[in-house]
Amino acid sequence: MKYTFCRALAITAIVSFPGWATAQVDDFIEQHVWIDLAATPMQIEIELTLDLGETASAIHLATLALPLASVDVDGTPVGWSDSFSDPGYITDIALPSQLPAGTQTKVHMVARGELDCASLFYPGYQWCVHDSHQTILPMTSAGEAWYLSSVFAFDQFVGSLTVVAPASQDVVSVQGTEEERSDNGDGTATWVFSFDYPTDGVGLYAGDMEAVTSETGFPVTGYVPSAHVTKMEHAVAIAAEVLDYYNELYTPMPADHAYLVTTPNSLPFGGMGLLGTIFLNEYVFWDEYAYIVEQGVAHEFGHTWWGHMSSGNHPFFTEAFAEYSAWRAMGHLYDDAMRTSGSRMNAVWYMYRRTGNADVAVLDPKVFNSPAYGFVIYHKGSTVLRTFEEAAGEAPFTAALRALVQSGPGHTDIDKFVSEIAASSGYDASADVEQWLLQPGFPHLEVRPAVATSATETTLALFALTDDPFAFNLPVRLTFADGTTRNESLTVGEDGSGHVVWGLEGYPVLVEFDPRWTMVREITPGADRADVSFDGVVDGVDLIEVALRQGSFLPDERRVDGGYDPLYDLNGDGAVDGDDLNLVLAAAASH
Amino acid sequence: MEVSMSQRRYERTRLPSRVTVIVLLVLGAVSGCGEQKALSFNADAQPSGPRLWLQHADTHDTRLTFEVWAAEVGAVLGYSFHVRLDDGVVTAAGEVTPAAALGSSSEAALYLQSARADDLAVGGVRRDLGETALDGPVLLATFPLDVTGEVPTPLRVERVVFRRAGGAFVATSAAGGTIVRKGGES
Repeated sequence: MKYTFCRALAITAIVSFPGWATAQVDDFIEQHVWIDLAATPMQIEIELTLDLGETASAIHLATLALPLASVDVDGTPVGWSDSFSDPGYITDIALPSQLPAGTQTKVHMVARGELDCASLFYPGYQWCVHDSHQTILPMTSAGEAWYLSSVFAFDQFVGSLTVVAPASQDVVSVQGTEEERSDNGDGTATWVFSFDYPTDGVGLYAGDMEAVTSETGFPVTGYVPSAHVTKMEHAVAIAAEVLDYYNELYTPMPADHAYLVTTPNSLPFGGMGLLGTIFLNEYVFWDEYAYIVEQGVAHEFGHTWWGHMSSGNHPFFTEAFAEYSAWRAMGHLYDDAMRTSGSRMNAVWYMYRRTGNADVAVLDPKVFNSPAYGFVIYHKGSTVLRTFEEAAGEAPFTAALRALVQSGPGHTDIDKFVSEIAASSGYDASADVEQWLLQPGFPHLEVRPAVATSATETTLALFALTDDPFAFNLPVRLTFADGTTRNESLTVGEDGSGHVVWGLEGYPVLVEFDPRWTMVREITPGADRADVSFDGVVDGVDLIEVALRQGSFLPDERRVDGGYDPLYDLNGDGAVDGDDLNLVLAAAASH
Repeated sequence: MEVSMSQRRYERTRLPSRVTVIVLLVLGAVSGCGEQKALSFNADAQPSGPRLWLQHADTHDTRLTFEVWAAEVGAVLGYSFHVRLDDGVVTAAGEVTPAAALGSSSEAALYLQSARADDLAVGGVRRDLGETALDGPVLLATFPLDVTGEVPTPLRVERVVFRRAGGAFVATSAAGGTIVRKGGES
C-alpha cells in the first residue's frame, strides 16, 4: 500500500530525468484548455503561451495521455516527435524556425483518442480515471499529461479550463473558480473555470459521486462513494476548520469554496493537494486507515499555501511546509498534545525507520534519488521547521511564513526563508540551516542529572553530551511534586556539551527535555538508563512515566503514531511494555 | 497452703538483696538505661485534604515498624514517595513492603521499593492505566527501622507524587515525625 501524500510527486520524479541537466527552461505565461469528456473519442485542445528560455528550434513539452492530432506554433502547423532522451515522457515540438531566447510563442495542440491512464511512474497503477461515472484528472505528469506544465521547474501560468461533461455530473476544477455552467441541451453541460491565480497545478473531477458539504466553517464540498459518506462528513468538517485556521494564519486563499475529491484505490497516491482542492485516495476512508484522514486532509490542504500560493524549486518548500502546517492545525483543532504527537511521529519515523538506514541532508540535491527521500523531506523537514519556530518564536516565525506566501509562487528559496525569519524575529537562522538542512543526521544526547539539597535550597545540575555536530538550545520542563512546572533551556554548544545549574525551591521529581518534540533528537539518561525522570534516582515517578507509555511502539507503517518515545523503551526492543516496567523495578531494587 | 522451710529458703534466694536493688537504682539514675527500651515516635500533625503520613505501628527493642498511609487523594494511576532518614541514627531493617493498594496481583499493579542508606523509596502503578480511588485511609507501605544512634531523629516524607491516569499530578501534603525516647526530650 502506498502512503504518499503529495503536491509535487510528479515533478519530483521528473527533475531526476537525464534531460534535466541540459534542459531549456521556458517560461509558461498563459494556458487555456478545452476538454470534451462526453465526446467519443475524448478530445483535449490546448493553447499555451510561453517565452523561450533559450534560442531553440524545438520546444520540449510533457507528453499527453492521449494521442496528438495536430500542433501549430504561432499559427503554423508543425511536426512533433518522441523525445530522444526521455521517450514516452517528453514530446519535442518542432518550431517553424530557430527562435531566439525570450521569444514569446503560442503553441496550439489538439489531442484526440482514448485516454491512456496507465501510470508510467507507478506500474500497475493508474494516473487518471475516465469512465461513464466519472473522470478524474490529477495534476499533470509527463507522459500522462492532460494540460502542459514545465517538466523542468515549477512554472506557474494563468488561464482557463472549459469542460464539456454529461449534464448529470458535477464538475470541479482545481485552482479554478467556476465562471459559468451552461446546459447544452444534448445531455451535456459546459463548465468554464478561470485561473486568475498563477498555478502549475490543475486538476479536474467530473462525476456523480455523493456530495457532502460542510455545515460550519469554510465552505467545503467532498465527493465520495456512498459507502464512505459518514467518513467524508468528518473529513469535510475537519477541512472546514483547518482552512479557516490556515486562512487566518497565513493569508486567505484565492478561492471561496474548497473541494475534496475521493479517488479510486487504483491511483498511486494517498493524497494530492492543489490550490483549494485535494484528492484523497479512497483507502483513506477504509477502517484500517482511519488514522490518516485528519492528518491527510490537513497536509493536503496545506499545499494550497505551500506548493501553490507559494513554492520554490525544492520539495522541502512544499512537503515539509505542508506537513508542518498540518500538525500545527491539528494542535489548533485539538490541543498541544496532538501537535506534539505529530511532531514526535515525524521525528521518530525519520530517526528510526529510514530504509536501509540511509540518510541525506534535506537540501542535498542527492535527496531526489535517495531511499531516504520521504523520511528526510516530509518527516525530518517538517520537524526542522518546528525547530525554527521554537528558535524564532511562534509569532515571528508565523510572520515569516506569511511573508513567503505573500511573495507568491516560485519565489521561495532557502535564502529568502532565512531573510524573512531574520526580518520578523532578528534570529539569524543560517547556522541552523547549515546543521539541520545541509547536513544529514540528528543529535544523540546523553544527560546526567545531579540533585543536591540543603536546608534552604535544592540545586539541579545537568550535564549534557553529544558526539554529533549539532549545537542547540534544548527546552527543559521541570515538574515538582505538586504538579507545578518551571520552563528552562539547556544550551548544547558547538563542542557538543552543555552544563547548567539551577537553584530551585523544591525537588524536581520530573525533568523533561524537549517535551513538545521541537526537534529530531534522541535523549537518554547517562547515569541510570531507568532514570527516565532525570532526577538522579530511580523511583516510583520513573515507574509511572514508563507505565504511561505502556503499549507505545515503533510503527512499521508510515504515518502511524505509535506514541513511541525511545526514552521509555529501556530494552530497546521497539515497544514499551511490561519488560521495561520490570527493568525500572530491578534498577530501583539494585540500589 | 503449707510451705516448707526449704521452699522459703529457695524463694528468698530468688529475690535481689537490698544492696543489689540500691546499686541498680543508682546505675539506672545515672545512665537512664531504664528508658532505652522505650523508643517512640512523635508524628507530625496530620494535614487536611489529600495527604500521606507516617504512622508508628510497633516497637520491639530498638526496632520500630512504620506504616505509610494516604487519604483523600482520589482516583490515581500510581504514586511515589520517599522517606528520608539520618543513616547515622537509624538504618533500614530489611525491605520496604509496599501494600497492595492498587491491586494485589502483578497483572493488576506493580510496586517499587528501594532502600538506600538514607532514603527509602516506594512507588506503585496500575498496569491497566486505570485508576484506584485512595479516599479513605489506605495503607501504602510498611517498613522497619533499627535505631542505632542517639535520638531524637526525624523521618521526613518527601517527593510525594500521586498521578491520575491522564498523568496529572495531585497536590498532596505529607507528614513525617520524629523518633524519640518515651519520656525523653523530643
